Amino acid sequence: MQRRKFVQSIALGGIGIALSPIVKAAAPEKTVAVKPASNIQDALSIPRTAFSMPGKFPGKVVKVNHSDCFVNGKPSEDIAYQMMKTSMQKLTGEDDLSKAWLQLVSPKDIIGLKVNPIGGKILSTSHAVTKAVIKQLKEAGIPETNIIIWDRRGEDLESAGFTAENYPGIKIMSTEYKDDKGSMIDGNGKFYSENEIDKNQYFYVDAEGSYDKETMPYMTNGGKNSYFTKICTEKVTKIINIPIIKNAGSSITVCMKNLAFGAITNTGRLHQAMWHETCAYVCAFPPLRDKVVLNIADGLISNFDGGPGADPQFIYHANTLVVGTDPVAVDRICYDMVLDKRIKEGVQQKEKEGSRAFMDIAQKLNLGIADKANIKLEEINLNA
Amino acid sequence: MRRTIKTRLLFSLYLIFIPIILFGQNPEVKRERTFTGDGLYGFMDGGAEQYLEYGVSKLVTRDVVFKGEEYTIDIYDLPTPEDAFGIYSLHIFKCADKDMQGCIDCLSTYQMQTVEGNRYISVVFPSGTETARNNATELLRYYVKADPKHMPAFPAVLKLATPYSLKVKYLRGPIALSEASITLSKQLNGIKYSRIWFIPEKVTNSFKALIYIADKKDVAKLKATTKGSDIIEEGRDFIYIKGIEAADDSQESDHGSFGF
Repeated sequence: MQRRKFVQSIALGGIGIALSPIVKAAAPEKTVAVKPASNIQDALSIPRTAFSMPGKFPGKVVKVNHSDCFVNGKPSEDIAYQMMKTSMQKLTGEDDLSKAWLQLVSPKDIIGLKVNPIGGKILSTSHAVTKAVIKQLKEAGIPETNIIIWDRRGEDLESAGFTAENYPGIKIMSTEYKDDKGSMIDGNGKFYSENEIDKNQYFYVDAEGSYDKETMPYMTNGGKNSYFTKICTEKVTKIINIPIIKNAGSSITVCMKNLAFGAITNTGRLHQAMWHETCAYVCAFPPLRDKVVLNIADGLISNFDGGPGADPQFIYHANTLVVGTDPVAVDRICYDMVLDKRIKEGVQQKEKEGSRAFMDIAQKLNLGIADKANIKLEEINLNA
Repeated sequence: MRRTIKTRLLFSLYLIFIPIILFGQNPEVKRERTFTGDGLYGFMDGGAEQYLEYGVSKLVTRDVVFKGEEYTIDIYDLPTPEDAFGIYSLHIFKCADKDMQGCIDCLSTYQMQTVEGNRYISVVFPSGTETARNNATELLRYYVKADPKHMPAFPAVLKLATPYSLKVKYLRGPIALSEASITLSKQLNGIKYSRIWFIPEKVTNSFKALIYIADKKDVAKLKATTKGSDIIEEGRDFIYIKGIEAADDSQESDHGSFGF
């Protein structure tokens, strides 16, 4: 729905409510009986590789906590390094840190670090963790020229401080970006992002994306296809996913949401009835399924409400990293973290049915393990 | 004559140095942006509709460095002090300190929010340090003067006293209403209202709502769906009711607001 039309419809009172993407009383998940058709079967028909999700350690998750990881209000790079080191050693069972990393990547790889910069300076992937990962990759022999920090939106990357100035020698890439004059449109009247998407690899859903002119630059295209970014299909050979641990209503946005909605275009249409399916289905396509080798859920700073945006009222220091090759298992552990906090803070009384749907769907697609009983969780408190 | 010149000189020096005396140092503005009307979409994604529902006419947002700490100070202009309070009331959750020195404000770990006349102001400090928190008020006063004469007018029927923060919400339309109560949102489906004062009771999961009905015909319609014992008071253009938040409605039924 176009945003201005939406505003007009709510001005009419009750009749607009049922169509609203914001009004919470609208269209609960359970009222949608039939889901739109998609091309998920196309993805499943493509043979898996040795690197396909859930990666080298299915169902294994390491959760590391350090209560002193903030110094003067900022995450400490030194402590983040220690937390990452412990995570990698415990996950891989390898004491030598470089050897631990080389179980997942090699110096020949072009490695894309998928961060989440939507929350600006206050609730984005921390620089402490990102820099710790880069440092450890370089120590493992990965040339810094082979490391890319990426996200869908250049504007968000810049706002969150993922800039060339802060990351000398590291490429910063996005699907959507502005030129020096602040325009997202090139001399031929095309969005720059149109050159950054792979029209051969797409997620089809029988739901039409239709946007106003202000929204379209952030969607790249309307219609029924969501195209994968070339960053995933062409530019990187491995992806290290570094989302932040956030709520999304009574669900979460951590590993799978960061990948799925960050790698494709035309997502506005997918936020309602197909939200859970999209989180899982898009990860089943080869550009993500076969390239994501590690998930580092950054919970140094986290939130328990107001997500996926960054409402300062609901942000807190969780002082935690949750790490695994299996994005579904990592999400499942993070889900409990967020839910526990929401209940403790009185935002929610109990778990809401259906909030874990995307993890269950992902498990059925063999992308990872959603059953908590089958997840091997190792918890370490570094300053105990 | 000489005395007049001396007085003027002293007064000029006073004007020059008073900001330094009061504030110690000026904030260094790193970025300043102004958004008007629908331009708010350029600042925030899906969240803009809620602000526009309250009639936000202008937002000035500044990224500043003040006394060595980073801040973002957003100043929203609204039609009335009640509207400013309305936006404020939807954006506070828990306050370490609230309604200090006769103002309407809420201080939390990363943010100070306040209502000054018809302005809603948010000061965010990403470091969350005590120093940043302590300096937030000083920074705020650099940009906005205290305006105790233009406080929101809380209806007498509500029988409220300060502190008002976290006690009552002011709602101007369906977006704000659904944020406050899905039960009431459903109850008012098809009813035209101009504004609602909403008092949530978290412990009992109940609420009171003072609803100003826009169309008199709708008063009967609303009364038909409301138990007589739930009507606290009614007047020419309002009805004051109580209710219980339905169990299924008390939790969010989605996965967050609309996004890109």
